[in-house]
Amino acid sequence: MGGPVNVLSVHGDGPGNNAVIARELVKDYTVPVPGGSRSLADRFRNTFFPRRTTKRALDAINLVVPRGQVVGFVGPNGAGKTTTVKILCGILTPTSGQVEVLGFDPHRDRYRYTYHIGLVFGQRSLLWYDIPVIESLRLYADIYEIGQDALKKRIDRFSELLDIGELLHIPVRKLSLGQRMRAEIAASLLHDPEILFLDEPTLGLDATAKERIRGFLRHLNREQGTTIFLTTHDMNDIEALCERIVIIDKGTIIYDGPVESLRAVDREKIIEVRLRRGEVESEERTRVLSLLEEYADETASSDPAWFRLRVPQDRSLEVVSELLLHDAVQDLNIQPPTLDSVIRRIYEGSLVANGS
Amino acid sequence: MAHELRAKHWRVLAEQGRVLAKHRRILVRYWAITFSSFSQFTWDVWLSIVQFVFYMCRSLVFWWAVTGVAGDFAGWTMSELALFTAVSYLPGLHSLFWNFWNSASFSDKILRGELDKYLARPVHPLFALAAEDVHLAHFLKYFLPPLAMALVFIARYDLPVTGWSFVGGYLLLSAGKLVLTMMRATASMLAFRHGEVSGLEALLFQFTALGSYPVTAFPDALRFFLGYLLPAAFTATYPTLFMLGKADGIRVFGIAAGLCVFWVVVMLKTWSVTARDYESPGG
Repeated sequence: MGGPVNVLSVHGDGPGNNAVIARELVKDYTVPVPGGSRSLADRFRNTFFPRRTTKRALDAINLVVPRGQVVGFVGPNGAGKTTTVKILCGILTPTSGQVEVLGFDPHRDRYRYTYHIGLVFGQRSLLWYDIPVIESLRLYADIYEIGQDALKKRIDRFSELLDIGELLHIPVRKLSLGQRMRAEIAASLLHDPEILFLDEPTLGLDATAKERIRGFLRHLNREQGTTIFLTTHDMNDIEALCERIVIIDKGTIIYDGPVESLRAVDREKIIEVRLRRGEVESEERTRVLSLLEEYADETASSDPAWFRLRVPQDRSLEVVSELLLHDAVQDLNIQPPTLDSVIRRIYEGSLVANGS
Repeated sequence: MAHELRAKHWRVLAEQGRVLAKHRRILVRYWAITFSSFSQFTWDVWLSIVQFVFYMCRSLVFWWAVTGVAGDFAGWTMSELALFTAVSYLPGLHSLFWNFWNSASFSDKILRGELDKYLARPVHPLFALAAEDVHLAHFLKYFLPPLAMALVFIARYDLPVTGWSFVGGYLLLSAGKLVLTMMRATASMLAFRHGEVSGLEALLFQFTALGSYPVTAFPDALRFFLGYLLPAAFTATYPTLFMLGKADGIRVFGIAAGLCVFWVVVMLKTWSVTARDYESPGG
């Protein structure tokens, strides 16, 4: 299906072992200039000749993904996640910079390149709404030039792994979200792609459906070595699947490294404290409260007897020891910060991540 | 060296043949899908046919009223106008696979970022867009009632229409409607760069609506405009005249062929230039 295009070198890695290489990738969008308190003439002119300006969605990002890796690509809304995925898939053309996926320039070699990739959008269906799932799969088989025997084998395999056997003859519009997503994934993997791009695949799914999809993706990566590029807002997806996480914010990569290292970025411990009820007026409780207020996390519950503290690691033992001295403390729980809270603090700017 | 060049040439041809065969299979699959989709909404289809027949009858009543007062209309008798009405409702052959007029507008798809699924597959996006609009069953729904009506009028009024002239007129109509569709598709592609272009599309549609009247009744300048620039004259007037043996076949077919070639080139060139500006931010 065609050979490699220009060989890039980022961090000294050649293209052979890398599924994705992006270098100084920039994407600008043109957007209308927001209207302010302009004059009537200005507004009139803007109606016929609207003024536009450029908004930078991706600002010179560099990214290398080795073959077979599962990468989580996270960031707040509007950070540039989906834009990056769409450029890597060949859907969008970068404004500048170089991108190479599986040895192809995605945009220029779009036709040949797309034989090798799979794409799932959590928010957008790639199936045909009014027809049974099997018809969509047959159409994809024609598009990817998959023979009847191979198609049957793959449908049997997906029926087993994704439990879609009973869904095949049901129109897509009659499927639940979880069922539809399993069918979407089957359609995207029908041609055995080398790399799978997933854009929020577990969005809106219940816990069981999410776990089923995660299990399947783990299996896919382990058994077939499929490279998986996952964007999500659900940190459980990241923890369950990814060995590496890339955080993007305002079009710039602000962290790129192992998931475990990211957790270590937050050098604080979370201590949850429950106080005994009925001792509100005690002097001891007042002393405990002053200690609790010093470290109280803003996101703590409104329950007056329950507190969540964020304590620097080097002071955590000291704080716990002091809390244990007070009878007002009924229960106490110490845990490392969740990935969710680390990411949230990075988005908020209260934590700085230094990725590798 | 020459041998290698020849071998390369054959390889390229074989590859192109394979791609064409693949696209043919996809088109057939889309047709199969459209029947599946059609069978889900049988009741709606019957209602649409009734509605469609009603529209045609409304036009016929209009011409009946006009000719009842004036005897004829710009040289068209009531029997010819009846055929003209039936012909004007015939869908072009291209609407078997390309139905931009009736489905969600192409520019809407561009603006809503709905080209993603076509661009992420090994298939030409324009082909996929067109093929997805395949409506074989819908085509028959719109094709059979006016066809039946045209045949009834030909027999009832003993109009001088032969089988060949009818087929020729229909091909002419298909070419004209294809040109208008390509013009609209080209206008829609401006949405890649200029955002909302539905105003321009509506303007085009307003002018092409003039094709539902005999264009020969219009002033010369408007006839030229509707014959060459925005060829609405090919959607009913010229095809009907050709069927009746009243049109210069070589001239009208020459114009239709020229317009088709011209607009194919313009449309594909516009696609290749504007699609680079496709913006589909957000999930």
